[in-house]
Amino acid sequence: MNVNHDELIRVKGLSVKFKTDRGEAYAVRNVNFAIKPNETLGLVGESGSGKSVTAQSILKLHPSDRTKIAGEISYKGQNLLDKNEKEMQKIRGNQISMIFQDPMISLNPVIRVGEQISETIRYHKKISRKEAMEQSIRLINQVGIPFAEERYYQYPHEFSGGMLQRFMIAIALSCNPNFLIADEPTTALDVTVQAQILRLMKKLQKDFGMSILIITHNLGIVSEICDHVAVMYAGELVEISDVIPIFSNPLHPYTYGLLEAIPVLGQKHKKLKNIEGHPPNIFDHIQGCNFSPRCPFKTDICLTEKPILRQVGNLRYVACHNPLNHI
Amino acid sequence: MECKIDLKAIELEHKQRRKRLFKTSFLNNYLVVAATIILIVIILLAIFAPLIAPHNPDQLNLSNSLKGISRENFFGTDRQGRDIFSRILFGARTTLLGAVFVVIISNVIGIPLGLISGYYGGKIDNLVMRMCDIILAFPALLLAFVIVAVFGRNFTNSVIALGVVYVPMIARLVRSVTLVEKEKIYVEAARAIGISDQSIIFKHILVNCTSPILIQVTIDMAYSVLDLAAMSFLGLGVQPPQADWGYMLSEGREYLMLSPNVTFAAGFSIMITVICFNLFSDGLQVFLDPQQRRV
Amino acid sequence: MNNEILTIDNLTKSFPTGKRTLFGKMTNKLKAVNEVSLTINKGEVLGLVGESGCGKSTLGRCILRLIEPTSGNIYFNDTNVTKLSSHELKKIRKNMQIIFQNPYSSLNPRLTINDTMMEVLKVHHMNSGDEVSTICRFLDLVGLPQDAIYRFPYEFSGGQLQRLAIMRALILNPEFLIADEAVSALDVSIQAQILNLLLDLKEKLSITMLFITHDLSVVEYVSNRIAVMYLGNIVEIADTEALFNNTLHPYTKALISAIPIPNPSLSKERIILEGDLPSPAMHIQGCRFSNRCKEQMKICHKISPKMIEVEHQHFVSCHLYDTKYSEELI
Repeated sequence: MNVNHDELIRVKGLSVKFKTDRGEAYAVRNVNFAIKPNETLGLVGESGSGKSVTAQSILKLHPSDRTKIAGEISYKGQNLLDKNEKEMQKIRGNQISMIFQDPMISLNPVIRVGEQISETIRYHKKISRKEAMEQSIRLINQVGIPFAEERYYQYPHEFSGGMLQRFMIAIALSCNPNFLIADEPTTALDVTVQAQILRLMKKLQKDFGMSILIITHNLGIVSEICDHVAVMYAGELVEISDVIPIFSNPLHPYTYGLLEAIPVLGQKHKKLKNIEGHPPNIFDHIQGCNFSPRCPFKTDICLTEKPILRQVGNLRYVACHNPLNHI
Repeated sequence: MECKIDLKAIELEHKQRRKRLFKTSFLNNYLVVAATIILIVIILLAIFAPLIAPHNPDQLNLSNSLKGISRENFFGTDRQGRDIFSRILFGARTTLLGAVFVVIISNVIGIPLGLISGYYGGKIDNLVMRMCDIILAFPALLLAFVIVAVFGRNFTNSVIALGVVYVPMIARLVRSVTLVEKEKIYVEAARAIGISDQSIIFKHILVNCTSPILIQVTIDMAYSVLDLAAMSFLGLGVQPPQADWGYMLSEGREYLMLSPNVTFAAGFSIMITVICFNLFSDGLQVFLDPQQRRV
Repeated sequence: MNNEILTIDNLTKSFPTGKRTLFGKMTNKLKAVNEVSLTINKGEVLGLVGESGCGKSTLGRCILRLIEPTSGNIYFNDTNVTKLSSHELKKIRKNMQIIFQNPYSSLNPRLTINDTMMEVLKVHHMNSGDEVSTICRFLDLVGLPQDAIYRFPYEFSGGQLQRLAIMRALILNPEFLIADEAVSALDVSIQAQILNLLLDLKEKLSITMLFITHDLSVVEYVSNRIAVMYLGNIVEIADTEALFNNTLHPYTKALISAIPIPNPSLSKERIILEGDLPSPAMHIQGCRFSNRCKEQMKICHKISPKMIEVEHQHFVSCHLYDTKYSEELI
């Protein structure tokens, strides 16, 4: 693959191996994708598919004594995996930020929310306390929280989940990052609040000019805010595509299965199709294609040979011996 | 619909699985096996002490005082010239029996109190916990002294007294686990099915308390050996000349510089027993907790 | 009509909150369920939708009296559940069962599947001597292998555990089943399996269901009728088609429009509510939705609306549809 200077971040051959009591296991295996400036990539998968592990390894958030990361993560031409902890600290929160699933436990409960934002700013930039505070208040306003000056002095428990997620976003954006990783940012929130947060993220992406990697299991969210989609299953990417074709013309049987398995508003009479069985855990060893035990379209080759991710069209990649549709 | 499967086969497989589990979780852990064997040996020695002991443990022989290790006296003799090895064997009977009963008494009272107080909460909880606070407010030994002083000085009374004094610890522990467990959905599900409170408490919640209880039991065993010794030392527990590890431990302290044999022999016996209890309960926990015993 | 299996009449559940006074009394009351009336007909699936904290789970638990309701009545097949003694309650619970959200903690981790199921059968004196084959039959029914019988809960995946929870609820042959967020904790591909299983079993065993969830698309898939709940009140009840095709209450409209649709070529106009769900302990004058409502009127802040039948079997509790006020007071 040639180096593309349009790309903000490229993940090449990323594998993550965990050491556990039960031996070593791959949580992520040979993952490749790239994100361009101002784009949003959705990383879709079920629990245990390795989507969060992938995101965390971009920021090297895993304990280094129990994880082995192989491959390359090039961010603006530099390989993040070569950087030491000190250099990573300068990148985390400053150039690449992350927001997590549960805002209720992501903020320190005994520190005022405003100070938590100022602290992040002052950690990365040499500015005075007062300037940091002014910036924080501006940010609180930007994430749609009224009365920012008063809110600055409040504690996390005084806010609802939706509000706290806004503060998390404010912290993540405090240093104008180029790249935001959002790990299930709305899963812990109610639908009406989820809609607010998604709208806010879209607006802020434009204002701040950043790329977003959003990790989710909800295909509705993907269709709402993503430009591209990468589908993960059992630690490997099975399909990458632009957002529109993947919904109308899924290539991988797993993607197809997922789309058929979710109830969609206004399609009551469509019977949901099951994907039989359940996702493998990381200790299961499967011969051939990981999805083959559950795949209704499997053939002999699927049981013996592991399919690799290959390009099948303009910006479309699939890892399947018998993709469902052709382009 | 007919159930066509061979139930016997399933049951057989189940039994074999349990055997495998026992093997992997218990027998494959050499430390645990060793501890279990040592414990069994100690218990056997205690039971057959009269047959094994080379001397009468209470036989005074002042001319033989504070002898070192010899073929005649494996561990030497104490100040009164009694054979230490024989006294250790006989002492195991009083010590182990005493400690076991202390733990039994405290558990039999403490576990139900903790379960009930944690499960029902409110006034019952308040009452039980305040009573525990009162007991805990006094140093354990002091309270035991009071009880013994009231009911008379003998070994049985001191065991009962210590048992009662240990109740709050176990009750509080069980209560705290119960508070966590009762919020779990399986308890609510059991209620929804119509299972009585009694069964929920003593079946569902109790089995989930076993790990912390086992840990507490082993700790209590160790403490009660020492506390019983302290009481004997003060003349409230074991009455001389009866042999008892704890009593020997404190007795030997007086002439530790002259001859450490008594203290060492008693101390090592207590130490080995306690360590073996700990290891044994570790193994038991792994075996009892299905989550831990992955095959 | 004799078609009703369950009638809830003016049910209220309030929890004490706020500061404790000297004597341990709480100063405030939180109405988690506020004068709710509802009927469920034999053989139907009633969906109960709402966001977190709206009281939907409390309502479900009140029906089974896992939580004691503060006031109101619940009639199950003409028996007043709220007045039953604990002995009679046990009998009626044979006919009313519940499945919970989190499959991982809904089975006792220390008991084998056999132990758990045996206990259920024994408590209700269904020990005919043939329990094991009953258990096997039900394992078949929920799609699990029969050698699961002697396994412990930790040996199963989330989806399988939920099947076991369903089995425990159905092994008593209940007439009525409450599914409280039964699929919310599951992965997407497993969710469909469990939903289809529930619908199949409902047909096979002719069960009436109350399906509690926060997910409108799920509820649309499984329910015949839907009740929408907001802060302890039911704001709209209608047949599923009517609710989606002719949505009346502004909250229901916002809820439906907030759901992201997995179809990027279909862009829809959204109604996005401002603010968060207020805490149920907050005192709101008039309609409890009034402070977030896009179509609020003066009256909404003064008087709380009553449930009115706007169309046949389509009830809504909103002043917009109450002709009595709409002319004079706007």
